[in-house]
Amino acid sequence: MNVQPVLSVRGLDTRFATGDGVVHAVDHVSFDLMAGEVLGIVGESGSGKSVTALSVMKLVVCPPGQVSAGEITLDGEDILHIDEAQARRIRGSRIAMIFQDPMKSLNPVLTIGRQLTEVIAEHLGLDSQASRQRAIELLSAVGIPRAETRLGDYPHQFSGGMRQRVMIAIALSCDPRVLIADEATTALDVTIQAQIIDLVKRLADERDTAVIWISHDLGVVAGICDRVAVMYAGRIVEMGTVRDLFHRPSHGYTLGLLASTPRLDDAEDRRLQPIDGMPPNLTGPMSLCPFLPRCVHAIDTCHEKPPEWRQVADGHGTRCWADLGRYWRDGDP
Amino acid sequence: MTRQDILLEVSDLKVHFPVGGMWSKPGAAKSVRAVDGVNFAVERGSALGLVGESGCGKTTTGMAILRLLDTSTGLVTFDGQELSTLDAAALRPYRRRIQIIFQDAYASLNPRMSIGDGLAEPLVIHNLFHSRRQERVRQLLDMVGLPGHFTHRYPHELSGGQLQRVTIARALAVEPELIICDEPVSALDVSIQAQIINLLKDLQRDLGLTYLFISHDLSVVRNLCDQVVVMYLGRVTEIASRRQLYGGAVHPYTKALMSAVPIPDPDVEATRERVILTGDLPSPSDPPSGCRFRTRCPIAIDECAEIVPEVQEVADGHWAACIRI
Repeated sequence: MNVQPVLSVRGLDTRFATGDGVVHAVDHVSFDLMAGEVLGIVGESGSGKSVTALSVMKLVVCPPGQVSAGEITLDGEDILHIDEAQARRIRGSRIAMIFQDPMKSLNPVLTIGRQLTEVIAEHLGLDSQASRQRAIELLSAVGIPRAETRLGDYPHQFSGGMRQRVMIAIALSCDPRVLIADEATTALDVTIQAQIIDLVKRLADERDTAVIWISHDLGVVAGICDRVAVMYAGRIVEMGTVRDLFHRPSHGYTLGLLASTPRLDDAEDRRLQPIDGMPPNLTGPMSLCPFLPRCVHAIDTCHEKPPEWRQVADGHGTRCWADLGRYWRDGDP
Repeated sequence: MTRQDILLEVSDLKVHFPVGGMWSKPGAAKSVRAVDGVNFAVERGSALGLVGESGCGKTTTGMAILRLLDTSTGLVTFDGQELSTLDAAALRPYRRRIQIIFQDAYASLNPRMSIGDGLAEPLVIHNLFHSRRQERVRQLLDMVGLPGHFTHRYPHELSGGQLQRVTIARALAVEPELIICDEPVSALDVSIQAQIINLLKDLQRDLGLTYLFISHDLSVVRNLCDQVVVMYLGRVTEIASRRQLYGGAVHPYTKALMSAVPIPDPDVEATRERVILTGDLPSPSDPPSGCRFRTRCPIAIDECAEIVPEVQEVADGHWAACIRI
């Protein structure tokens, strides 16, 4: 099988100049994204998940931010070293993004219809009649009832879940190759979250859209993603299929995250195992594993040299020296 | 549960907010029935979880118990004393015995006060530990796992998890019996969240505290609470022990809510049955007639629009409000 990835990121470095020094927000991140695939990026606040997404979108504000190294290609075409006019043609049409707070992404004084048709007219060059027709189709596709009448409504007239549907409709308006969802369901109630997850899964499936699903919620990731990358201190520390990652975690941090997450199907007396300490300061170089100060699985090698990327299994890699096989669940991953 | 075992009892609690604000005609205004006839009791030394989605009235219930809202009716009985009839002076000792912590720890601390001063403030207000206040502050920091030198720090210097430890220490300062915890771990990263959950559990064990734990997160509630009250649009839909609720919820809303909670295991996620509710939460200012859940309920029948379901006992210690069970 020789399929070209839709999106390919190689050695991405994104830095921010701050008063306390240069913050290495994204540190040598590489991944491939295939058509129709949902890739999860998990990690805690400050791990570099969102900055990775913003770098792909060419939305890192410079200064203080700067993508200082790396390559990003979309369908084999360089999209990192392009000018702003070219970037604008790609953003919203070939790569689209949705955020946690749809109210902040929508313009409160314009109708939903206006905001949808604006994107369609800009990127697809349709006339107003055709744009309107397409807008109605899109709203219906994302499950907004009475789409035709709701085009004239303003964002405040929609509920949080409905607003996120509108955002998804706008994002999908030009049939993008890649959809990036940054904590898209974090602010929603679980029953509404379930609806949105269902919708995104269906759309990825039907339209073959590749999705990057950024989340801190391991449960959501387990339910929606095909593959998962775990980020810590700006680096991808482990990446693999969703089953490999949850059943055969191979990085001390991944294991720590799973051990500290309460589950609905837990044993009643389970005591959570928190990860002690706090994430490191990202200014200045790190010679050893950034997770080392908090890691309970560290071995001697961890104190001697920085971890190198190693394959645990086909398509499953980690940046961790320790062998964590004894924590794996029995059976095939 | 005998009467002596009950520390807090809430009966027929109602909180109605008038809509329209200062420009509305008096008496003519509609009201948002944020909490509409809520009953439950919290056993001494236990943790009761109050769960539900946005707008279900869980936070309002917590505020009404502390009498931080003036628009409430109904009875709140704490340790045998009815609180709603007390005047401000008589209420003060109870304000000491009931403390509250919030989701946003930074917002609940004074940014201009050092951590030490912030922790000493409740001692000053309630006139406690006169000559030993500094010692008490150090002791409190120690209890929540913070180093003593934090007394000289200011809130902006602390991380989210450390700030939440400080607000817990401040609540503990006056030796309360009941702590109302309003989403105390919702804004924290999962590794830090686990630290705070374990801390709350340890403190409860060591100090014999009682918790009213308000949360939208059913997984966290399962880890921490002995009993759970589920609310929807201002009403109680189900009350059960942890085992009963997580082992066999009976109300269609609870079932849907549980099935929507993601579980961090791809195999479980791929195979579990999910009740996906259609539609949105109705407006609390204009709730549906009869059962408030009926507009989204997968098993609603015509009668649900007419009959307001009473909370009935379905098993020992397990109540639900639904005419279909």
